Amino acid sequence: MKSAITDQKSPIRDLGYKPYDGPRLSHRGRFQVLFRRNLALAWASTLVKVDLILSMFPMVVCAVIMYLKLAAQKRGLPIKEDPGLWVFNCIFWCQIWFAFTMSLLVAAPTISADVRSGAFQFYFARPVSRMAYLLGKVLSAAVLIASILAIPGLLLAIMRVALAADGGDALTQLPLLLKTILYSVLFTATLILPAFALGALSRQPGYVQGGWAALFFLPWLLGEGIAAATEIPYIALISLPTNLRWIGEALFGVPSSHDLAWYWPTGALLLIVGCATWWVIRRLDRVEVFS
Amino acid sequence: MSQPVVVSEGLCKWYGKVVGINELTVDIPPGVTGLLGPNGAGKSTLIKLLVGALRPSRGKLQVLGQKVWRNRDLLAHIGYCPDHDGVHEDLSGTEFVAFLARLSGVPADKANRRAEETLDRLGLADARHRPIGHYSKGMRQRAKLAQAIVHQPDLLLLDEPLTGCDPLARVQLVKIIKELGDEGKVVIVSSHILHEIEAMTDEIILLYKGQVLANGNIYRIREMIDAHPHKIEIHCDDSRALAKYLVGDQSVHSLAFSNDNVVTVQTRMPDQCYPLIANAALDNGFKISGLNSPDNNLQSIFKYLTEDRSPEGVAQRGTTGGKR
Amino acid sequence: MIPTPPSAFSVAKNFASLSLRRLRRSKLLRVVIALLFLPVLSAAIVLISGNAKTEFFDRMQEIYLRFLIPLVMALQASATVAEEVQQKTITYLFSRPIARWTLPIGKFVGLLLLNLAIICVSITATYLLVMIGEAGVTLELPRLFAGLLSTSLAACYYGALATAFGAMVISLPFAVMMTYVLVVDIGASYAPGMLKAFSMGSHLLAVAGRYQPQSGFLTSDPELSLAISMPIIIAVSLVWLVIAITWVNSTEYRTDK
Repeated sequence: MKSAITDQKSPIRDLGYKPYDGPRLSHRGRFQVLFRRNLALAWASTLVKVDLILSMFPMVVCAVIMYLKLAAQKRGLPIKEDPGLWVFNCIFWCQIWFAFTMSLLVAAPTISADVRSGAFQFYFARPVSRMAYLLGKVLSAAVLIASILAIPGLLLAIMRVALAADGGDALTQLPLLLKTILYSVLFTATLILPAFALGALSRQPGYVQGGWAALFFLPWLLGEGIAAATEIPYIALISLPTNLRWIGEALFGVPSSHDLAWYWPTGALLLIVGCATWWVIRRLDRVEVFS
Repeated sequence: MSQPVVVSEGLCKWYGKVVGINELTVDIPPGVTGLLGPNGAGKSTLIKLLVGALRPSRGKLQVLGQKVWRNRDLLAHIGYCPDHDGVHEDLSGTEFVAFLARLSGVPADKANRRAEETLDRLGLADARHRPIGHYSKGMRQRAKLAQAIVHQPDLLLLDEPLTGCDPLARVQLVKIIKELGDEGKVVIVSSHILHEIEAMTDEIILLYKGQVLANGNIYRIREMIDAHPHKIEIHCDDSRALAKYLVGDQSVHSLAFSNDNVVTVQTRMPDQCYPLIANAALDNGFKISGLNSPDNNLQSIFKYLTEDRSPEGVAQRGTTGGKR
Repeated sequence: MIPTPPSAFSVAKNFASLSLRRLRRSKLLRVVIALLFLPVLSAAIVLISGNAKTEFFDRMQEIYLRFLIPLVMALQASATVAEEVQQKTITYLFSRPIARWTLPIGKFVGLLLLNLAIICVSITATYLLVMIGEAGVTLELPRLFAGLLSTSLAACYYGALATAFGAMVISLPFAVMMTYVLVVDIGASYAPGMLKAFSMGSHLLAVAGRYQPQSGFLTSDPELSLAISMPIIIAVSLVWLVIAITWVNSTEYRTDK
């Protein structure tokens, strides 16, 4: 090729082309480009912004109630205080709706939207690995969903530590922070990876969203109904929200209505999320780039 | 039909702050008319206004003597082939065209047959029962054209109908479009590819930034572009002697020699200059082996009007190069 | 010779048959049938376990009304106009001499008839499985009819709602509609006091005979019944359809965005 360029008689005249020899980003950092891009795209949506803003309101309500209860306790009123319950209730019963809506907006339809619009042929005609692509997508969705789940919970936990009666009380409440982070991470992964797995199945973003809503809610409604009717609690393990609830109850020490040990819902959840992860990686590995 | 098919006066269309069509006043006569312009000139916007897909922001627009927006009856007379690629991919060619034929009022018992005849005419006889999603780009274009003509409309609006077609398909489609014009249909074809339009028609409307730069016959438009005198390239055995003969005439604006055998004459009066050249050959025995006008074509018109546009130029309200 | 513009009825019929034909060829119909037969499967499991009770049917009915029917109608009907705009096929449809409103209405009617058939079979099967399992209970036909009526009205209402959202919201109509359903219809049905009257979920439960008003310290729930709720559901459904028609008639749908 070099001689073809430099040889004056060849049909390729040398017009001074010089190959680029400046710095290049490492392959390992490619996912950061995708991460920033996907985050910016998600942030451009009004629905995403509205969802994020509205998700902060339940935290405010929970914080006010927690503060009033602590204040009443300090005055000697016989009020039972259970900070773990408040953090758990805030995350599971309040934030779940906003986090699920966010996963419906940013997690479920992204891969199928890319397939439908033919974006794969742009991504994978470059030195971008399938894993870098997936990592960029997953991390951008994770940031948004985790902020809905973790920030309110952490703020409540920090508030509880800050309002501690003394140093001993504060030290007792410190594990609440770690529990909140752990629970939020597990919750976020549960809301992202199965949604991506579904997204890898269809080219229609609308159907993926519907499938994700069905997969999330129907086992919850039907599974708990069948479990209650048959008195076989293991049936409810098919439901992602039920597993999350039981794990949360075990983690935060909240009384629960079932007899299953904590490793049952944990194992079931990790199995579902693990299978979803395996599925989406496999689908991306095998997909052919097409227009 | 001698009345204009399309009449617009001060037509404007804007999308927020972006102006698509700007004070467009033009009458489009019957026959095949080419709508020409670069990307973003407003060709597709104008066609969508004509088919009632967009509502005019201001101004008057009439097609076949009627207002367009929300005029259902008028749409029975119009066939529209859009520029985009979207189709119902799971439907076969026949199903797609027959369904749209029924929506145009073709009775259900005739719709299938008409769809098949139209698809056969456009060279899709073998593929008409396959899903459109399996068609190549050229086949899709034909399917799109088929749905536009299946109900035999009076007015055909074709927005970039040759996009994505291979050279053979282009030739075939151009032939079909010319046949449709010969059948008496009014055809408005938009394109940004000059030689495609030249192959189909001599009547053009040249759009640029939402306004009409010129409309009418290509050659008459050319005559009227005074800022750029006509170039006539003459291949002659004794070009200098010929030049000496020509230079005294008032119709010759300037002369240039590209080599010993070629002299290029620039003239603002081509009707006088051409006979002068012929007389020169007859009276003086000059051997003229070639004579052509390198800028008497659409490309040059386009270039002169768009690149040299100025307030003093020819493009104030459009150059009208004679109407039929 | 120019064909005469077709009548609105025949155009709507064409759209209905087109949407059914495309639905039959797509995987979506199988997904819808699978979703609507999940309660039947649940009832079968409960029957096999020997614990079938009427309360289980009531619970399933709530799931139909609060989630399952909104979901399946949203999946299908929210795409009536939005899908055509996204695929850009709306240019072919609206360049024809048709009344624009026939597009959403024709598709809505086609989908509604198909879904009503599936829903009726599903809820009847669920009911029979539960009743077979519960020994000593006679077939309470009024309960079944209330279930059929409430689920049919639910299909009609949520179909109309999805059609309207599909006409107004072109990108992500399903997500927007489900958010509306979760917040307004379902959320308001758990709210105290007169807010319940704004929730179609409460009205549908009233038609099913499952609505239980409660009186609290500051608020008391509205008294809803079949006679009150059924006309309200029908009226609100018609309002959503009128919104869809008005929107489609007056909007210029751009396909070049």
